[in-house]
Amino acid sequence: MNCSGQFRIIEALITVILVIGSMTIAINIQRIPSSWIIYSRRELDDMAFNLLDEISVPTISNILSNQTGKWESDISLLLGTLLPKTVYFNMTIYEFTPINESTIVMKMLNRFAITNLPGNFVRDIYESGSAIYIFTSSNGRIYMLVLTLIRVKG
Amino acid sequence: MNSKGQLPIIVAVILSGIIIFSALTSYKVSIFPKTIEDTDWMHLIINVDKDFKRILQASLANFTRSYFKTGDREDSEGNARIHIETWKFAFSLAYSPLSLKISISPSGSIISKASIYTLQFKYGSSTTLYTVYVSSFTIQRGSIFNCSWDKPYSISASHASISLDIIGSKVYGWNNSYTSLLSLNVTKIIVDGNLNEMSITLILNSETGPVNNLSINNVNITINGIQRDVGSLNYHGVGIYNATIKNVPPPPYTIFITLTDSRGIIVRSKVTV
Repeated sequence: MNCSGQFRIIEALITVILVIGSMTIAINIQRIPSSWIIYSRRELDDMAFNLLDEISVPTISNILSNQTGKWESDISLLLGTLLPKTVYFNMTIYEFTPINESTIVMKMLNRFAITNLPGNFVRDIYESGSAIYIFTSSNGRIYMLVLTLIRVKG
Repeated sequence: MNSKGQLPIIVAVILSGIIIFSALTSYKVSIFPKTIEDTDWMHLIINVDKDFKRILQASLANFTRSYFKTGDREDSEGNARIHIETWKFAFSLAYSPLSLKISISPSGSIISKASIYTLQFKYGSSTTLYTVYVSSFTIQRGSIFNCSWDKPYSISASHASISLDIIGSKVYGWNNSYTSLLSLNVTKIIVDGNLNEMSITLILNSETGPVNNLSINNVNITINGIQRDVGSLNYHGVGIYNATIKNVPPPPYTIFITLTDSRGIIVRSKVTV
């Protein structure tokens, strides 16, 4: 093999390395910011808000007015029915009560967590979103509902 | 390296540049929508739009309850406004990441214009027609609540304007006005000649139109200072109800009719015939 032939082989190798390298970089760039994941979070935010907006007046208002027994379980059952099985939720309810003109008390209303998250939750989380909704009941009580939705693999 | 051998390398470098440029372009396109897809401010406006009506109704109910008990309008308005301030605080806290500036103003409003209607009183075979002059009903600027009671046409109402600046989302100047009301017209009173039964016809309206869900438990009628049991309450459509009372005294009458709707708003009419 003469010297000129060896250079051709080296040039060809450099060409192959450059092309493969650039393709690898391009593929990696496109994989990281998956648009599906970006939209998923926004959709979870919207889903959480729409859910609170839809169920606050007819259902949660009624449950909070009565607060009989384990009313937290009723809300948990309701959310579990409305949401897909691959979406976990966690809801917290606060109430604002005016004491006088300058004092407002904010307290957490639910006695235990309104959630379907298992105790040893270690699964892969795809994405999570949350929403806050202020809701005034017909008897004038002011509540803040905070709903977090978590989407997992599978 | 000879000059002929450099050509594939130059081509490869150009090709690599094109591939990486294409990848970067598609990367930017894929992430571009997320920077403009901010819906938090929309959630906030939807929430305010729906819930301000509810707090205004609940506060009007609170105002009328307090006014019914005490007869003190200023004190009743002060108590009701505390609830509105609490509501405002709750919103400011809940949406604090958006740097929300919320303003509720007692802008005042003309709720109903002056009008005239006829009240019919029938006792046995004789009928008397009374002309009822209804003056215009206004909530003065600076007040959120007002009521005009103890007339054949009575009304309780609230009105306020709200404006939002959502600084975090660069949304400024959203505003709207809301009214809640309950009005009662007494249009007809019929007493049979044997004084066995009195029938009172009344019309009940809210800010959305006729009220169709009034319960007999929410009607209180006093005749000449004595509270009477309401025998029946029949709904005839478009807000028209007919209440009957058994065994009434002979005329003349001073009748107080107090109604509480499903929202808890109270209105009280007075008829002297």
